Amino acid sequence: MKATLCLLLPLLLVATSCKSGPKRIDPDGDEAVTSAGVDYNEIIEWTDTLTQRMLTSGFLDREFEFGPKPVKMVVSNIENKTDLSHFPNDLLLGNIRSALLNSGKARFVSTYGSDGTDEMTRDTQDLKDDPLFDPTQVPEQGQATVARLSLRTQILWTHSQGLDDAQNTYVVRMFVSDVKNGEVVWEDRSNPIAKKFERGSVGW
Amino acid sequence: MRNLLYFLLAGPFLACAACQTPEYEPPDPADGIPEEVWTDQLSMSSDAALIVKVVRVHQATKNELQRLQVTFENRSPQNDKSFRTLIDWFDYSGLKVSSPNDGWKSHIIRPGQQFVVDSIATSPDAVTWRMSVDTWKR
Repeated sequence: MKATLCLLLPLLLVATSCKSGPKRIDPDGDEAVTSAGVDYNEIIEWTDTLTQRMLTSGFLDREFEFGPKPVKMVVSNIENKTDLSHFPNDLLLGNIRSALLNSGKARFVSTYGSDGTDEMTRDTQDLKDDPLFDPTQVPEQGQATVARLSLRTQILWTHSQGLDDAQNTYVVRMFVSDVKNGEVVWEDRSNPIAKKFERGSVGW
Repeated sequence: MRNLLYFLLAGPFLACAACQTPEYEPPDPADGIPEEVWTDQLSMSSDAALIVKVVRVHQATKNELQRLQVTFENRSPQNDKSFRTLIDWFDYSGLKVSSPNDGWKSHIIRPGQQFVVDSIATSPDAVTWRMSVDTWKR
C-alpha cells in the first residue's frame, strides 16, 4: 500500500502541474487574453480610428498650405503617461504610418524622428570615402527631405478605484504641427479603452 | 402725427410678435444606400442578428477616399450588447485592398441606442466594401 502511494503521489503531482501547451489563436477572437491594460486588438482599433480621423479631416489635402501630396511628416516625441511600462509605441505608430503612406497623402521621413528611423541614409553617405564602393553611385549630399508636419503622441491613463472594483481608462492623444510656424493643424484623440477589474486581482 | 408715426413703426413689430414660431424639427439623416443594395455586402451572423439590426448605410467619397458608415441599433431596450465588425475594401478588379488596420473591431452598444460604425479606405484604389458582423464576448 505504501509502495503504491509512493508511486502514485508523484504521478498525481506531475499530472496536476501539467498545463496545455501554447495554441495559436485569432488575435481578435474571443480566446484572446483580456488584460487590465491595452491589448493588441484594442491598439488596432486605436490606429484605425486615428487614421480615419486624420484622413477625413482634410488637412493632408491642403496642397496650397503644405505643398503637393504626399505631405512629408516626421514622428515627434511619444509620451507614455500610463501605468504600462512597455507600451508598444512601434505597433501604434507603425500602423498609422503605413496606412497614411498607402493613402498617398503623407510620407514619413526615416532620417530623423522618434519612430521608424533608419540610419542607412546617413550610412550610405559614408560609402563615398570607402574605396570598396563606386562614389558616383552614392547620392549627392543635401538631398534628404525635411518634414513639414510633425506628429506628436501622448498615451494617457486614468485610474478609478471603488470599494471592490477598479478601472483603468486609456486614451491616445495625437496632434500634428506645422514645423514652419509651430501651429497645430490637426488634433484628436482615440476612443477610450476602459477596463474594469476586481481590486487585488491584477499584479500591480 | 407723432402717434401715427409710432403706430407705423410699432405695427410691424407687433405683427411679428403675434406670429407663431414654427416648432424646430431637426433634419432627418440623409437616406442611405437602399437595403436591397447593401444586403449583399453586409453579412451578419445569426447570433448578431438577434442583438443588433442595421438602421442605415451611407457610402461617400471623402478626400478621394471611400468612406462607409453603418448605423446599428440595439434590439434590446434593457441590456448593453457587444458585437464586432470586420470591413474589407476591394478595388475595381475585386481584389482586396489590405490595410495594417484590418481586423475585427469591437463595439458596446447601450440599450436602445443607435451606434455608428465608421470606416475609411486607406487606399484610393478601394471602390467597394464588404462588412461582416458577429457577436463579441467581453
